[in-house]
Amino acid sequence: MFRSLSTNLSGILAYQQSLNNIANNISNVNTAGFRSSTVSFSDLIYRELRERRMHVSPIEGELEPQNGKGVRISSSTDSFVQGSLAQTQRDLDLAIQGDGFFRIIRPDGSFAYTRSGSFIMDPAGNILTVQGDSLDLPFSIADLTGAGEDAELPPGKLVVSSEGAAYWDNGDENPVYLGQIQLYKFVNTAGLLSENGLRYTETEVSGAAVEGLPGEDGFGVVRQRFIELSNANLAAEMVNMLISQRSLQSNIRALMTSDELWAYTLQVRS
Amino acid sequence: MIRGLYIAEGAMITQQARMEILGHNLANQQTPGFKKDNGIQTSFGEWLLYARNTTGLPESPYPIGTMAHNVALSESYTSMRDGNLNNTGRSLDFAITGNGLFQVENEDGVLYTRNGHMFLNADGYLVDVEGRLILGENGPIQVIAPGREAFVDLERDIAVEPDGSILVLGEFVDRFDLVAFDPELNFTKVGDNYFEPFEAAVELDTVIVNRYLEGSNVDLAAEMVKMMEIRRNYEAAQKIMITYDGILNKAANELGSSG
Repeated sequence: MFRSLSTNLSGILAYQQSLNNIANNISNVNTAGFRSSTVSFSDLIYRELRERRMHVSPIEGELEPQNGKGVRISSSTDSFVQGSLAQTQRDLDLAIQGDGFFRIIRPDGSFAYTRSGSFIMDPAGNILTVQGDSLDLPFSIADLTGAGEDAELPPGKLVVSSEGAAYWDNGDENPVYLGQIQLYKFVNTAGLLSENGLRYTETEVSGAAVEGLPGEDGFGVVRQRFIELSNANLAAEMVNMLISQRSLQSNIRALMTSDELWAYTLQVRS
Repeated sequence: MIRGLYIAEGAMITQQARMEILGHNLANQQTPGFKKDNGIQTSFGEWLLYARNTTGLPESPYPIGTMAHNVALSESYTSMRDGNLNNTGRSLDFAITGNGLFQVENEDGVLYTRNGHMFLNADGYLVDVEGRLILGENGPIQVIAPGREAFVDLERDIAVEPDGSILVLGEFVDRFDLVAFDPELNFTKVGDNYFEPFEAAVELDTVIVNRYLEGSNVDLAAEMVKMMEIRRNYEAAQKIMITYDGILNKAANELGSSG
């Protein structure tokens, strides 16, 4: 009896999840490289009311009355809309303007992808993300330093062109060419597995990573001394929050009404 | 005499069914492309009533009019009115205005849907959120041909014209194969935003809007008002039931007592 209780319970759960997602986006409006996500909903299965011995009297030649069982969250999709770029003057801030990801190597050796290009350099010359993953480069700045644990970097700084060519500028007229930073993209970017909206891993659904050079057709360019800001839009998130909150409340209201109907039924014999 | 008791019971069951349909609408007020259902009530089992043969006259029992035997739902009518268009900015979001439905490939045939929240699969084909292939006029739509993954920037290089033609890097790829529906008719929904296939018999009159999603056409205020009405109808039926119970109480316990 009173299946509408579970129908609206599904609504409450779905809109709660939607609010969680909005809260996460709002929390990250200032996280560099963060990709905001949106959830999408689908309706649940339908059944003919006759199957449940409800009173039905269909019109001749028309369809049987049916009712659905609620709602579920069918997808959570990260938005890969470009975030705005902010100048930082830090040599190790690399932003991608356009399509593509940096490839990073996690401590366990597996690959991940990110657009959050705020890197740090350890004393040995490895370029790392703030989470401690190293940027996958076909060259190593450590090579400049020679061998040995205590080797120090030669004086100078990293320079990256918009096409991703990396140089070591040691003050000479001709900077030392280090190598080429590559970008990666996917057929179905939405199919990537997101870890906290910053780091992504390849899946069966996303397709294999395609390698390319910054500035080539379809790939973005690298902007040194810039970071890409979060692409969460605060105004849009506030509107979404408002709507989801009302959706949640109306489902709670419907749940309470179903409960009242049940109470009326019990009061018949009080 | 206790016929009314069963009518009151029928009224309660019918209001309960309406509440379930309404609850489903409320649960889906943010489901893209969702079309709301309305539980339509009808009286059923109209009977011709006769007066009792008390006069002994040959023409009796004589008819005194009709009376409905009970109340029921005659249909769950799906309102096909357009939902609001919401700007999402996403290149693979498509909204249909007018009487069109997307066709989606299914294991045994096709399904129709109004939800234009789409993705690409690993082979570059356009799919819906369940991973089912969206059908164009030449079958499944391959947006990104093999080997061209690197050249296409999804957010920038895909354009869709109002007639549903899909252009990738300015080149025509395919056109959405839409099905027209007659909004006067009723349709069977199967969940996951799908409609069961039907014979298309009317002219297609649609515009495809890219980077927008059609919202649910559930009107929150209207549903809440309807919910109040359902609650009061239910309460009234309950009062009738209590009244009958009182009458039966008198018949059983007071009428027979001498005293």
